[in-house]
Amino acid sequence: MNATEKSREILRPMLRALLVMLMSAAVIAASAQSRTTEKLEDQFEDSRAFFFYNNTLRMINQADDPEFDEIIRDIEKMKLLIIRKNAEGFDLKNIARDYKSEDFEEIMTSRHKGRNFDIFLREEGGKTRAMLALVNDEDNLFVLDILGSIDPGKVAKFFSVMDEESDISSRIRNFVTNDREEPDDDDGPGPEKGNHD
Amino acid sequence: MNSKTIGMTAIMVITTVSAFAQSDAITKFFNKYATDESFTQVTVSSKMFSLFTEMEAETPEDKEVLEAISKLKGLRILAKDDTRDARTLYQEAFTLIPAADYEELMSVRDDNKDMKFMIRENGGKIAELLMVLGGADEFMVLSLFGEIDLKQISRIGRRMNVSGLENLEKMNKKPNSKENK
Repeated sequence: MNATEKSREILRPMLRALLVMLMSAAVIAASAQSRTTEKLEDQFEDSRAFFFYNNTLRMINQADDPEFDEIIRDIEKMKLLIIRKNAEGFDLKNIARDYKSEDFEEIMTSRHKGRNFDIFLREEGGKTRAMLALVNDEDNLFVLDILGSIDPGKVAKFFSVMDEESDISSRIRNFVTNDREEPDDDDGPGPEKGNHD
Repeated sequence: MNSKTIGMTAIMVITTVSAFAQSDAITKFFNKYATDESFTQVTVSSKMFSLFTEMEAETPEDKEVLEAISKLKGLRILAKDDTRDARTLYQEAFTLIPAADYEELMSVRDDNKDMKFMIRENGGKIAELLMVLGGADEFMVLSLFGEIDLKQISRIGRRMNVSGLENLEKMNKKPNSKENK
């Protein structure tokens, strides 16, 4: 065995280990939610974060609305972050720019009753991998970071259900506005709080 | 490829893109009220429409609708509810719409609301569908642009599920209505 073959023999397991590490990192990166959302959560310590997994969202659907179940079918998990707009260092333009730098592309914008909605998506391999809604009103920015996808024909419906008065949105609102209180038994299971990435 | 060919290609691309874009007059109208918080605004990008090509059609009818949606390039809606200015805005919209560019397709009067549907053609294809609605206290302008298949328009409205598009269904219900010309 010459010197080149010997060095290859030594390097092969190291390269294999490196390849496994890189592949693992890629899988973790692909399955994690946006870095910008994580950064926002760290930057704004007073922000409130809520985690919904597919089964949690299903449980919130107490009225068994089949359309809502269909809409959330391909959502793996969803993080809701609420940030006060008067927090130090808050800059909406920078936040949108950071999401765009993560390949989030704007698909729809809307303004209704003093609320601005910006909906983005991120694709991987030509398929929708993540969706994002930035909703801001006079006082707060709501970041809805979704891993998974929503039928494009139901995107508008999903966000209006989440925003407007409906059984599902009122349940979420109750959790959000009374996050330090225990929900009533009648309200069903709530979203999980804390870091679940 | 020489510079002349590149120049010609660039001009053709720009011409094609602008053919399926909104007319300048309508853009100006939207921009005029862009910062007015009392208006509801919706903008849908071509990316959103292209997502429909990812979907699997369950029926041949569904396939036709998805194909029609994937040819759209954009949607803009400007609306105002509970307003006394609805009639004034309705009139203002028509002063800004260049009559030479648009052909009136139909007018509908429904529940004290007037609706006019207009189209702008380019190269024999419908490049923009414009709907202007004026009621006693509500106003809306809807501009859908891209390559538009009028036969699919009411189904597109239902499939997209965007508030405001349901008015497009009126086009199939009263195809020859000219009640408010």
